[in-house]
Amino acid sequence: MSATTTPTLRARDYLSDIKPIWCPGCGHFGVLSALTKALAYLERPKEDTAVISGIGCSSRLPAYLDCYGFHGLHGRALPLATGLKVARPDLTVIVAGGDGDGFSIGGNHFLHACRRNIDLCYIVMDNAVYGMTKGQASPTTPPDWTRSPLTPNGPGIPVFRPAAIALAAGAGFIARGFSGDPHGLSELIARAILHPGFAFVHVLSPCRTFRPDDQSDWKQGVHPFTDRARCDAEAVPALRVDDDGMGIGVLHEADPKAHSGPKDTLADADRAAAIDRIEAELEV
Amino acid sequence: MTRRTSDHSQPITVAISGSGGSGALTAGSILLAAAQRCDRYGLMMRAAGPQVRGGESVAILRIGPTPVTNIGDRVDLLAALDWRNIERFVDELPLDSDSLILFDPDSGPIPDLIAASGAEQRGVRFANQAKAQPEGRANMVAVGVAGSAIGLSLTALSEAAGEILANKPVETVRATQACISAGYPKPALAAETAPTRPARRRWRLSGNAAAGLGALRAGVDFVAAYPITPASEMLEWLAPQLERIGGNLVQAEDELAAVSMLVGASFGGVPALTATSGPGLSLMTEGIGLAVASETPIVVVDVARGGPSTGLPTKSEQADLDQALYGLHGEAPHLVLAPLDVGDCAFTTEWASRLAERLQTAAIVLSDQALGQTRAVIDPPAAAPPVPGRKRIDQDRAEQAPSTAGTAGTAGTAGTAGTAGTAEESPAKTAFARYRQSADGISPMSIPGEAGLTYTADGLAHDERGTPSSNAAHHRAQLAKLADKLSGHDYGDAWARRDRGDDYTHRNGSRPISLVTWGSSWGAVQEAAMRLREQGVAVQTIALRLLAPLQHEAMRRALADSEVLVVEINASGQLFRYLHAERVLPSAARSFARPGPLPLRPAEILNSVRELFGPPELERTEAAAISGAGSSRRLGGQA
Amino acid sequence: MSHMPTQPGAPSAMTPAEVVAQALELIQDSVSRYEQLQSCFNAHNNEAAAELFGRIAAIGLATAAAVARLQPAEALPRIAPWDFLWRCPDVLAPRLDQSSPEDCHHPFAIAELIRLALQREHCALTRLQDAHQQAHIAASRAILARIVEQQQQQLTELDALLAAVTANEATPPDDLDPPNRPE
Repeated sequence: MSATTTPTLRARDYLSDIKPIWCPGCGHFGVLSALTKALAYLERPKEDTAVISGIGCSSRLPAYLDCYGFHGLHGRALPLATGLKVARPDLTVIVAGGDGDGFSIGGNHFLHACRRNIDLCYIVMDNAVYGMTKGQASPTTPPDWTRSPLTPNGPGIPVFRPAAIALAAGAGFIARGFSGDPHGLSELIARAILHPGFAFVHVLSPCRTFRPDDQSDWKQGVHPFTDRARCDAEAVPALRVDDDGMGIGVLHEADPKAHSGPKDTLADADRAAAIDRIEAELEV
Repeated sequence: MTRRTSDHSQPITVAISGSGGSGALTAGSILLAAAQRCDRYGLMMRAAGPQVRGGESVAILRIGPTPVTNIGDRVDLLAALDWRNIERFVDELPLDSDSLILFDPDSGPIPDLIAASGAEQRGVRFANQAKAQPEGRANMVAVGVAGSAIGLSLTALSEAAGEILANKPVETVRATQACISAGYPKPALAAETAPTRPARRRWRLSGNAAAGLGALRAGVDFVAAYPITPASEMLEWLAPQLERIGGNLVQAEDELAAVSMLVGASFGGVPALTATSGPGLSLMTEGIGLAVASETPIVVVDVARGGPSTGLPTKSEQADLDQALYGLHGEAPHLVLAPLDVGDCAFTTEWASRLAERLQTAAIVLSDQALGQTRAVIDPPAAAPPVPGRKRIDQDRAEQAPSTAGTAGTAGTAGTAGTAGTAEESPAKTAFARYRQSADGISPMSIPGEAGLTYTADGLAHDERGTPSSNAAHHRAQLAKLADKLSGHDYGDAWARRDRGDDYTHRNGSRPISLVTWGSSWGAVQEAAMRLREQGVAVQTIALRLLAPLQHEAMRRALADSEVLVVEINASGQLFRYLHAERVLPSAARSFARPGPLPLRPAEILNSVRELFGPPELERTEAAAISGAGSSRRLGGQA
Repeated sequence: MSHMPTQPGAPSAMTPAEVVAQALELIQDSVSRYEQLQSCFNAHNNEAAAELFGRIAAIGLATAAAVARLQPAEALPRIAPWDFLWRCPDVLAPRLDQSSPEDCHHPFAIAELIRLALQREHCALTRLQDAHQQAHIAASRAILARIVEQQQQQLTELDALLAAVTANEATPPDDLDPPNRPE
């Protein structure tokens, strides 16, 4: 990771020549800008960075970057990234996806990624709707949202609270950002990348096509998050009750020293010798 | 000594049964370890219920002077520690009038179910003799009695007990050895105390451990898995070994996560493998499809159990073949392999992993409970045939160089393309054709960390660079590549284990017989073939190790001009149907297929051959000689 | 946390190099956004809008090049993105705030898009003028004055684009790429 061997890259240098399919006004453009700004500032070499995603509008993001990337299965970005990071701890591994991908079909992996505390930066672009499948309710859609023909009376169940659930599951770093402020969001992403361990960045990222009715005021609604959650389980109900979901900033950061780094791996010659010893033990 | 067990030139089958917790399985393990020390071969199957404790358990061992490939037709010797729950596994104990039952008269009379076999009964007061020793246990007295009966030396039994109980207090080991000695007839014959080291290298391990070893031999450094019976032991064997070699094992939150973790690790350049069973394989199929589409090598070992649904978690069946072959959505060509015996679990798993790495695809290895949880004393398994590793950029460039000198930088291995309008200001963007067509269908694969070769792997249909595309030409080209790279590879001779004996010819105007099988059924099939040959029948065995891609031409050549019987342990004849659909079988081919969980026995195949083909040589022998259980015929083919 | 920036000094005490670095981030961030919109409208079949944003981005790039010439590149400090001072609203934000629930936003009229870009560039001009007035260091004031000139020239060019808009381009086209709502 040295700036002396590679020329300094600017944010735009991290973009691939593939053009996003996102709609005009889509919040995800701001996340793309913020991420490239953070990577450029942190001087992460493109080849040492991998961006892993699932399926959905936001999960298209890896193709738009000139890093290594994997556009995998719906809901499975976190385990795929976990495998990569465990196998290749030298890489900077960023996971990107949406609210349906991360909190619904991938909800179980979200819980266990928080617990497992592998050094990943997980960016969820939350627009409270399934965009790619054309506008169905997601886990973060309000219960009375009636515009999807799939749930004409509204989903009718309380919203998923990503920050509170991440805190309850043991995530060591939790932040919330707004895609309308790429500069501010880039700081949260940079801090999440630098955090040793699992870091969750919840991004309010409006969908202009399917949620224009109630997300236009997000720009006015966001505000700095002031009531930093404590590092214990008692903070969970407070975060669940008091947080209006629009507070921007780092919500929780545990002691980075809590994360144990990767272990060393053996050289090939040692590996062969170890297998010989294992085989010898199968004899009497 | 009994008339049945004194002949050590033939394999002998011994069962030790008892209620759960009686130590029947420990006793079996000690006998097997002693057999290893006495220059014997052997295998031990176990039957147990799915409960954590209690219930029933039986260890069935077959010990012999030559490699033991299957559990045989019958039980020569049953040592019953007690009779609780015996009805649950009476089906797995084929006793007959030539069998001997050692039972503890203090645990009640022999149940009618057992007595009906007509076996000789001999009372041995296992529990009472054990009481004479401090901390003595009846199962260890039985080890002494049974071990003596099958010709294992007391020294070997005693050493084996020390090894199996190595993590017990030394007093326990001493008490155990005293009990074994107490059960061993006095005086021990001099010849039976001598050998305690085999003359040749011989291994003792389970099929699950062997599969794990095969993974290590192939270079697997990453395992992610979710516990499931009967695959967990493979994972538990691998966990400490991976730690020793510097690899990683992650216990995933479910099988969906496990298979995705493999894809991630492998994308990072680290060979990756998981083990599961049928229900887990179902959950993994989407991820296996991703590995195929994104051309990321992974290996999934399915230690199959009886199904459908939760099915028979502790018992075996070869019923996952359909799913392994056809279970992925869309058309996703992949590898399906099956190990043929305990040692072959190492060979086949290693080969599967090497093939997956080379061909950038997913390999499903169809082991099963009968292989995975069987422990065996075997010759060390051979290494898999060499397969070149992943096609990295250097090899790809070398391949490209002679033929594309005039078109360098176009379809490109690695190249760059300027971005219109900003070319002056920005470094060029990477335009690595990760999914480029090539002569052998194998595209160059970079791994993260390699500069100038970045790409985004994708499960969406894509073009040569991996860019999502719903273009028909791109779809057709990539689909063809996925299939061609598998069908174009030279798999050599390892695709099947074939044995034609010494004299595979037409006789008396009748055609020779081909016994076609796969996976764990191989052992019983090969023994059946040996017995048929002893009776003058010309027969070959073809046990498929590589099920997909099927080696059509080699199969057709091998089967030419023979009567074909396809043997497998599932209800619907999955291999038979597959081979028929692939048009490699003659139209008159027949199927022997029955569901599990009982192990396949050679006599079943002999009976089937006689009924279906009635080879004249066999007709001339006494029918009873091949009827298996209930006959007077002894194991090993002597009438 | 070696990469984390220190708190920036007061805006009024910026050095000339800091001023240029901030101004370049302001202009290049806008250019990046225009390029995003260019490819985005291209993807959604509004080619006139895509071409427009290509031209607006080119104007911005020219401004950036002129500003960059005010200081040697090696002298420019690295400004953390979050220490960027002169943030302006997103180009599409004002329009989107006003859009009705039924409104799909691909059919922008060319004239409207130019007005949106002008809003952003006027915001940028205001930021630069404020900084010019507040700057304490004479050399910084001088450089800011020249940057303000460049920004005003950019606005002039955008005004010229708007003036050249034909009557046809003053009204939104039909929705060329409606969302594929299930019927």
